[in-house]
Amino acid sequence: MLVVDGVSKSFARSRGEHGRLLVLDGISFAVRDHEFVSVLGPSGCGKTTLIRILVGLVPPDSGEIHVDGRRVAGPGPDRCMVFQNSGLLPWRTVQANVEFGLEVLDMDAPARAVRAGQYIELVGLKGFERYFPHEISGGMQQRVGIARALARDPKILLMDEPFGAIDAQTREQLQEELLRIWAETRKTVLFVTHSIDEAVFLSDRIVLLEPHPGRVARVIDVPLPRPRLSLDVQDSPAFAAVRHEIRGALRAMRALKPG
Amino acid sequence: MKLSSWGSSPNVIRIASVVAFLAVWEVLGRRVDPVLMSYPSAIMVAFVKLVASGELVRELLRSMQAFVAGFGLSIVLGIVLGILMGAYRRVEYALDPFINALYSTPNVALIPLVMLWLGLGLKTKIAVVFLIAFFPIVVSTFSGVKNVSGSLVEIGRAFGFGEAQILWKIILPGSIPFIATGVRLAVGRAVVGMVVAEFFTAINGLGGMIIKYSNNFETDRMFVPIIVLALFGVGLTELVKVFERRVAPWKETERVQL
Repeated sequence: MLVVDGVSKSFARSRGEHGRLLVLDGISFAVRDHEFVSVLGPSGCGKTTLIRILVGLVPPDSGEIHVDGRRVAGPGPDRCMVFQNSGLLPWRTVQANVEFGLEVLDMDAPARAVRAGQYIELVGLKGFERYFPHEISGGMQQRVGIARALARDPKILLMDEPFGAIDAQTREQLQEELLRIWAETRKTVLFVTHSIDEAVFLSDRIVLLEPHPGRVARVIDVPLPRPRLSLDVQDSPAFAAVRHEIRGALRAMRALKPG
Repeated sequence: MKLSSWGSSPNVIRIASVVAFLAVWEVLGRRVDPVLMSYPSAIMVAFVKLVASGELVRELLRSMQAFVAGFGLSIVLGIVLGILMGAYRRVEYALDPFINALYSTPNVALIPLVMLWLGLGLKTKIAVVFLIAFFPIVVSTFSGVKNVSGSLVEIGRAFGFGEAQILWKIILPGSIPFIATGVRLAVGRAVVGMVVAEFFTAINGLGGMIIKYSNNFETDRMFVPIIVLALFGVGLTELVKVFERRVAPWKETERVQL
């Protein structure tokens, strides 16, 4: 279980301004094992800062993160991240990019190659092992990013707007693929997005953040049956109802904090 | 093939242009005093004579010796020092005043001093080639290391790599395009350095040949090493471009143009 307990973070303001900018203010929520939870919010609500704290790239000012009762104090093998814009190393092939995360583990080269091959197959890129990132599409690059994170076999997969820069058709396909992979690997997923539809389609629960400073506004259950296929789900009344609820909550936020 | 498509093919235009230039040169060159100017057919004859006597090959090899040693040295030291400066702030601050000052100085100005120290032989030529080729390489390597995007370094951290592994697995491969650009910039300068050093020492090498035949007013022979140098420079630059594409194929669209 991933527990986020009262996490706050502020940054120094830009030069010439006084004081600090509070980005996250007492964020608390929990993600159960094998659960798919999205963090949804408009820009400026500190989503990316939150996920960087969860990976362990930056420490929170106050509050704690726990994974299965152990406190997080830096990057660890129990959490792996899928980055915005895939974050692949451009000089490495698909195969070598997936092996990258394994090179820090105590694992010999043949074992790395085998493991990477399995996950390349899992994300549907068998046959593209020797391509370089610039030779494949953005959607395929992000599949490699997912394979790279999964190959480490983390308990928790942290995803920072992974489909944000991808066109609508490809994105829909990747979302369905992600659900298939999630069902197969039984990972716990924390998925950051600013797209309401994406959050509703993918998640068991949605943590809705409000901006300036980032606070948990509500946690919303998504009672849609699984497995979910885009075509069936997106037009269903249940989908529309959750969507409506979130839009209402976002509208209420804007009314309170204009601009 | 239609005439219009023949006439617009880049290589056809290039060859036609060169042939026309040689023809005009031949015609006009024959009318000028041979001490002042030569012409293509006379240069060809001189070329054949210099190859037959073994002089051209001998001097070419002498020049190459200095070039390879000096350029090799600047590549190795330039890359090592550039990485150290990029990776360690203290090394950067300790060395950048010297690097910046010497990079901006026309290094040709230092040749008389180098000659005083090292004499008129091979050592001086190697040192001059090194002095001229080293700085673009060290400066490009340094900026390459500095320019590897912070987000890539962060990915290394997120996967739990330590500082040394991040340097080896991310920063170093990430700066290869810059290093390759530095080598490309340095190649042309190194050829210039080699010839200028030979002008000063004027004993051997292709530069020495140019001085010798110009002093003897054998203008046709003087053109032979000049043309060899031109071909050498073009060939080397093309070679480095191929090398650049090989080591950094992903940079094809965003290649550093300097």
